[in-house]
Amino acid sequence: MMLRRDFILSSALLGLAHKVDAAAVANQTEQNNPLAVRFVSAAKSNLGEHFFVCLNNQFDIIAQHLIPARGHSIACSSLGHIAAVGRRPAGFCLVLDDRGEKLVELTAQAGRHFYGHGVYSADGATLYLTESNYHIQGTRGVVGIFDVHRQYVRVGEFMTEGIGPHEILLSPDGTQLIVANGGIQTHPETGRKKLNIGTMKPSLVYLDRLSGELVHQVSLEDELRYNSIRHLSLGLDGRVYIALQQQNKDRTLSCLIARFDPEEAKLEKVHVQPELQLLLNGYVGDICVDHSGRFVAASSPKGGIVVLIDTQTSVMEQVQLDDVCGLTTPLLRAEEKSNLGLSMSPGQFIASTGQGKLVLLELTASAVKQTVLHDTGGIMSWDNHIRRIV
Amino acid sequence: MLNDLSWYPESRYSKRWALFFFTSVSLFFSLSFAQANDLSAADEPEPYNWASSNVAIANKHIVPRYRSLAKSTKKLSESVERICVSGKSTIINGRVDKDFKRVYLDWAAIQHIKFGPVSFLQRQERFQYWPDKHNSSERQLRKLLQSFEQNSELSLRDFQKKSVALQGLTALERMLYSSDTLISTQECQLAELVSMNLAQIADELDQNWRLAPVEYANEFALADTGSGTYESSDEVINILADSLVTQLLLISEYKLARGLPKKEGGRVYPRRLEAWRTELSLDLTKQSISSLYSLFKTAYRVQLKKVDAELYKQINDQFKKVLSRIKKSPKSMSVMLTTEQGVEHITALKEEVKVLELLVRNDMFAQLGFAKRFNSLDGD
Repeated sequence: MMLRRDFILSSALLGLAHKVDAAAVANQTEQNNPLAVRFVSAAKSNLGEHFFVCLNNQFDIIAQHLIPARGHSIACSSLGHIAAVGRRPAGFCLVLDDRGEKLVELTAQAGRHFYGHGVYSADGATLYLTESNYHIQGTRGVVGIFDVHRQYVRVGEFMTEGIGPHEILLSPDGTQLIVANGGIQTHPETGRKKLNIGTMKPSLVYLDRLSGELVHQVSLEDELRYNSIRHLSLGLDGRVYIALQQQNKDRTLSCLIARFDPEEAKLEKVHVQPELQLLLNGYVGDICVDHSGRFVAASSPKGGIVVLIDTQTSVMEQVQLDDVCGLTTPLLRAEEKSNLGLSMSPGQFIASTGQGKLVLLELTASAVKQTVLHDTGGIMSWDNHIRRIV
Repeated sequence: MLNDLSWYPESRYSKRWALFFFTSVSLFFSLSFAQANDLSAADEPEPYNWASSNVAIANKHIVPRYRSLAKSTKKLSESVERICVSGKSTIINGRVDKDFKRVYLDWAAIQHIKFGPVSFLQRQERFQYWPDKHNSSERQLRKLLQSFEQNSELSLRDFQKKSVALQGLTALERMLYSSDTLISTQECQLAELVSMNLAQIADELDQNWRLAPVEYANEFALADTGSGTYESSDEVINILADSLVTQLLLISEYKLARGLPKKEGGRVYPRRLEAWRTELSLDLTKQSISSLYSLFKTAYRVQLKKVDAELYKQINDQFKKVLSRIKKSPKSMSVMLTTEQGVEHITALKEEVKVLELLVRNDMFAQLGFAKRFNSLDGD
């Protein structure tokens, strides 16, 4: 029997499918539609309340949803769905449509919690969320599988072959899931207390998207095993850039940015100049490859800096940005860029800060230009991640 | 039990009320932060080791308050259980009334601590769901009580999976102090469940702060060792400072402002006050301010006096001024809202708390080298 709630959701999904078709032939006016969500970020108000906030192409807030705890990251699908996931150890995930209206709420199963990240399959039919199964001794990382066309019912799970799965990506050909196993064991009853620092084993894994079979599993060398593999960004060449967070205080051994080449099954450190390494303060909060694939940005909220790396020349620039964390790329559509007075040149990123600023970072010949795109005036802090909605 | 959304009152998070709020006050805050920037241009404060101060806050400020809350909720649970005799309507006796008010006051004394064990398993909102902007507690209670008429079997475990709006003080106050003093068997059964739930949450908070495996007080001591939750003592003192200013803002914007008219001479909203049925609203405000004053002195007195004795005196005096104004107030905030003079009094009190908040947020933060930080604390 179809429940009223199911009916409403099915109707919404049908309606959305229609809208997506229409969007495919949309003219420039539609592309610049100020009602369309183009960026989403979690945020915290001065009063301590948490939200998922949707912004349009002018960086105006067009929708926001109060949530029971901190939100974390966002996944978007080719069907125009946006999955906004609660922060570890939250058990909620909001699914929004491309206007920021809520479609459905997902709740973690008993004995599971979400890790704050997810990814859709290329056809938008399946959502994958990183989860913890904490009912078992030692906890186990899993990827929860949700069927979009069946009201996001959870239809199964894959093991991630590690503890603390965090960010998850889809491989460029859409056949594999790339998961960062952070390696850190926590339990909802002890909050965010790290329960296994002495034995943590972070890894990066590739899983077959359909069977869940392990394709690759790589780890950093043993002396770097305290560096939790946490956030990921995919380059145009299929290489994955990795942001790490150091769990001990020995900053001399630190490697905070790494790169995995799936062709060669090789995980390598991205060498950062020693003085920059110190400024990163043992912690990279987000990482992002730009639309050209040549430049990578890595943020350190604990260091208050963003490092911009030219992957061709290995030249690095740094920008000081207080309480920065979230990184994404600006809009890709030329018309929109032109309307906003932005160029299409490579080396552009949007950074979000706990001070409430969204800042456009542009690599120029002589410096990194900063332009404030939105400022809440301190009323709202942008939480760890901001994501562009494609 | 996790903070899932199905468990969260629908109307509360899906509405966009806050959009208006943020827009309307953003200008004010922009100006405040501009002021803060000017102050931060002053000489850099010398680094100070906050470790001993943090440990003192854990042991002298936080742990004893959670202990008191655990004791008072246990007492309340026992007294509610005693009055609920199966199959009969009952009248709230003086003991339940006294125990309920004690719990509310004990909660007000520690509700500014919004990190640590209270943030696990959504305990904060399960303990008190307020402000209840869409009257979710009332609506959901009515629904649950109706279902109770058919089948009143509900275990504490199952009850704890229900909406946060049903689980805490707001719902319990509604059941114990609804307009008629006679409460039905169903209400009594539900009141028992809520009071048991409060006692369990408070007991967990007390144990989590003091005892293994969580022993959260020890996290403050471990802050500089690299083996705990916090990276440094500096991070802990910043989180405490944030707790202080957030609670001051909550007091001025919610506890005091919610009953006030939106424009001069406009309608007042006594039922939006925090504990309007028990007329505790002002006492809760006083309790919260007193507790924040104690936190301010325990945490910042020594260093702030050293860095800027005049500012310490200014903030200290402002705390006293606010408390003195509350002391001079009539006991009932609802009654105050019925007269122009009363509205003016609450408005003036709200402004005094605002001044206090800005002194701490702008001046004290600048002098002690604190920044408004978010992502740089407790990342993921």
